[in-house]
Formats: sequence, C-alpha cells, structure tokens
Amino acid sequence: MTQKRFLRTKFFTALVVSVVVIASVFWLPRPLTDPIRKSILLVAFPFEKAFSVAAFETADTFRFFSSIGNLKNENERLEKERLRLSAENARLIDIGKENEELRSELGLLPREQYELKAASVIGRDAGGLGNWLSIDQGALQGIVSGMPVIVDAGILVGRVSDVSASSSRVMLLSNPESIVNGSETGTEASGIVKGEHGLGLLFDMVLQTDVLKEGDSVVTSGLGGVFPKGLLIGTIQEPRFSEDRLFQQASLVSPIEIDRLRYVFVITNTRMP
Amino acid sequence: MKTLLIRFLLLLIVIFFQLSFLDILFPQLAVPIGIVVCTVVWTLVQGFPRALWMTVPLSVLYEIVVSGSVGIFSVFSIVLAYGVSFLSRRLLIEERGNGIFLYAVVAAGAALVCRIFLIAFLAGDTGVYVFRTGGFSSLFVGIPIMRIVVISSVLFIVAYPLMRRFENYIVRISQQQFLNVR
Repeated sequence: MTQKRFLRTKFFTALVVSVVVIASVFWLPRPLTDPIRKSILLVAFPFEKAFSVAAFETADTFRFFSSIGNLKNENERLEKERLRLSAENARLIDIGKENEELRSELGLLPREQYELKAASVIGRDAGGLGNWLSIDQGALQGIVSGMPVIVDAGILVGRVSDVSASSSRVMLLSNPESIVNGSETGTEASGIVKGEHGLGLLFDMVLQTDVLKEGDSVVTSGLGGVFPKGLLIGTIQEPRFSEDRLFQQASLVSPIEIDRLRYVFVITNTRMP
Repeated sequence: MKTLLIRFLLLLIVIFFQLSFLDILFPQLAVPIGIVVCTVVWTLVQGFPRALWMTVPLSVLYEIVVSGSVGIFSVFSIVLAYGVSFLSRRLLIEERGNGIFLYAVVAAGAALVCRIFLIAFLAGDTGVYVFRTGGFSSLFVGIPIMRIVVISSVLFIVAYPLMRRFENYIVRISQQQFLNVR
C-alpha cells in the first residue's frame, strides 16, 4: 500500500523523468540529435533573425542614451585620434606604394585577397562565456565548416564550426577548443593562440629563445592552412613563463568587443601568395 | 495536433528569445534566464507533473540547439520544477497581487542557482578553470548578481500573465476541437 502511494508521488515522477533524461545524456548519440538540431535551426531562422535585430536595436538605443554624458570627452579623444591616424595614414600610403613597387620588382603576387561574405550575428553563447556566436549565412550561401571569420579590418574573430542550411555557428577564439597558429609582428616569435574558456586569449608555446614584447601585435602565421597569414589576433599583455617553465606565454587583448559585434565577414576563399 | 504544433512553436520562440534576444542584449549574464523563468512559470500555472510536458522538451530542445546533445541542464530544470512546486504548495501564497513578486524572487533565486550550476558543472573544464583562476568572483559577485535578479524578476512578471493566457487559449482550442469531433 505504502509502495503504491510512493509510486504516485511527485517525487517519484521527478525521479523517473530525471533518470530518463540522465540516460539520454549518456546514450543519445550526436548523429541522432544533429538532424533534429539542424531542422530546428532551419524552422526557427525567422525567429532568430527577428529577435537578434530587436536585441541589437534595443542595445543601440540604451547605449545612445547612456553615452550622451560622455560625448564631449569622447569627441576630444576621437579628434586627437583622427589627427594621429591621418599622419599615420599618409606614412602608410607612402610605405604601401614602396611595397607595391618592391613586390613587382621581385615578381611576387599581390598580398592575400579574400573573398568575403558579410553576415549578421543572430545568436550568442547562452552560457555567456563567449564561446560561440550564430550568423545568418549557412550552407545555402556557400559557407563551409572551417572558414575563418573576421571583422572588416582583418581582425580574426574565429572560424565556422557548424553549418546548417541558412545559419552557421562560429567558434570564437576565446573558446577553449580554439587553437590558432600565431606570430608576433615585431620579433616574429611564434606560438599558438588558445582560448581561455571565454575569459580571454593566451599566446602559448613560445620558445624561450624568442622575445615577447608587451604591446606588440600577434597575427595569424598561416601555418596549418586553416587561417590565412596576417590576420590580427590581439596585442600582447603580461609576457611570462609557463608553469613548467619550458615555454613563454602571454595574455592577448583582442581589439574587438565580441559583446557588441553585429556584423562579421566569412572568408570564403583565400588566394594565398 | 493543432495544440501540439502551437506548443512546439512557443517552445521555439522561448528558446530563440533566449539565444537571439537575451544573450545579445545581456551578453554577460551567463545563464539562460528565459528558460529558467519559463520553467518556474509553467510549474506555477500548470502544477508539477503537467508542467513537465513543457519544461522537459523546452530544456532538452534548448540543449540540443546549443550543444547538439542533451546535457545536465535538463536534469536541473526537472529539479527546479519539482522545487518550485514543493515551495508553492508549502508557501500557499496566491499567484496574484503581491504574491507574484514573491514568486518573482523565487525565479530570480532559481536563475542564480542555475548560474552556479552552469559554471560549476555544465561547462566542464571551464568550471574548473573559472574556479582555479579566481574568475568565479568576477562572474558572480556584485553587479552580475543584481543584473540577474532584476532581469529574471522583470521577465517573470511579464511572462506569468502571458503564459496564463496562453494556457487558457490552448484549453479553449482543445475544447473546440473536442466539440467539433463530437
């Protein structure tokens, strides 16, 4: 009698459902859930698009009102920055011309020219630890898993990790599974850039004989062929030795704010020199 | 069949409201507040065993969309539904007027517990890493707590009457279908 009563309790129901769910955690294979996931993403694409546009517009409105107080200081800072960049731009145009001439004299092909596909961000890591984001370009638009994703100035964001019909998932550099070959622009020290569980980037496995300078930029080295050479990853901060003291490592500060990222570009084709 | 489709559509809306609205608008929350709040609301509106018909598919679909497999978050949502039902029976507070604010606090508490749960268990290595590097305090203490409490409370207060209306609508459709068949 007591047993029958126990079988009717809410606790028993919760227990049974939990056991079934736990069993599915271990026994539901990914090949079985993948078609479900892709179908859901296909059906829900209009919701994703509508919600993401609403979210970005709301965020922009909030940001506009909260930034009114800082506009004067920001304007002064930007004016200084504009003058500095104008001078630098003039210098770089000159260097660019010189570079073109030298390249043509040496018979080198032009530097990388990427074929880019613009994409809007339509979803983000629910865990909030900056591990991935969703974009509105998928297999139908020619996106393939592994393609590098950048923002317009050639700054690396991550790579496409999962593609469905009309949307794709981008694994960000801060994802713990992300590994990119990088090299320092100044001293040419090379190593690998790893994600630190959404908390930042780590430039690791740099030889002890190489020099790491704080403030220098780290770019993709092109090794491995996944990412083209020369995409900016971040600037070096706090160079140090690894725990086992076999290598050097440093934290990297990315110039992009992933939280505010609305549009990205997928490199669909790279013509390497 | 019609009601089933409508329910499925609502699940999709909730999931993508979380992934494409809340996570874009509040990227630092690190907790699926929308899913947690809906679990609490459904448990209050429908009662424990019946609420499972919505909360379990919600959390399972959510996890499949996010990670491609069913994870431990679904178990959390069952425990959460049971806990809310347990509390609501013992508190014996009406789900209207000031009572709603008390349940909003329960929803906020559930979101906070979910955050600890996600960082500690669901993220695997990430949880260990966050604890080891001392990042836990930065992810949890201070403003993030306030943000989670405020947003989940507001969300609960908005979602509760909407879900109630939705369930009434579903009942009406079911009755119409039943009468047509008769």
